[in-house]
Amino acid sequence: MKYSELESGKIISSQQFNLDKQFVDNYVRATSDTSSVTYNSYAPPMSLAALAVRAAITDLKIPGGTLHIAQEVEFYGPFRIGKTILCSATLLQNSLRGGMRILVIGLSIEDNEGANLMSGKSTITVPS
Amino acid sequence: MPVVMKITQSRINHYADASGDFNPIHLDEKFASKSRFGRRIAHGMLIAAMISELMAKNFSDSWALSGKLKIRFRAPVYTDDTVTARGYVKNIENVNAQQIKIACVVEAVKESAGSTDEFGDTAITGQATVIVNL
Repeated sequence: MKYSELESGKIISSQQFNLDKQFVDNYVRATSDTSSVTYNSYAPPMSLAALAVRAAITDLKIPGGTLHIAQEVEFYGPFRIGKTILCSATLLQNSLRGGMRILVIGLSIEDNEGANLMSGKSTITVPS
Repeated sequence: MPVVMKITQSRINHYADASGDFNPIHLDEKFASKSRFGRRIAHGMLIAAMISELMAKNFSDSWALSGKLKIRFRAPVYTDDTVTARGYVKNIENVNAQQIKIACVVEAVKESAGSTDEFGDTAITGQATVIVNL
């Protein structure tokens, strides 16, 4: 992928996931984040951000050596396990600084009824 | 109430599986040894999860309902580093008669298991806000 040719405003990803128990179990196993008050019914908030970032980096086909330098998230939970969610990513900025390409990606997650569950912004540097 | 966690390679591998982020800088020792860091580093979002856990532990389900987080990843966390996520309340303001907005300064600081580097010990800095019902 030629990252220099990506234009701001381009929709770079739109992926559907099932926020299922297995994903949440795997996420909790990795992070030990059992803080969701009713863990058996709800997913940790940051697990949604992980899914949103996953969708964006997969569809952008980012190369090894890409670094995540900043993250913003806003949660509009709760996040009930079993929901189908749609993760969307839009390129907000594309610039070159110090030989590194910097991409700012807007993230949003909606459930299958159109309710907004999360929004955010990832800033990554891609080796140029 | 800080959150403390040792970042083992096994944990990083589990996070890669869960998140689908298989960037070799996290997983491939040979690849990582040629990077500017010289060894494998944890996913930034794995460390960010500790900040989210910190907020959820302190503000319960208000965090999932109204949390807002803005962070910068300032230094890499290496395999076997121990990370502490902590924060303090910076400001409280009324939203309405039933709710307040609490703004916190948050950070994740590491204790290196191996040699130190030029990036420092502060892995994440940022701000978090949450709206809490009175």
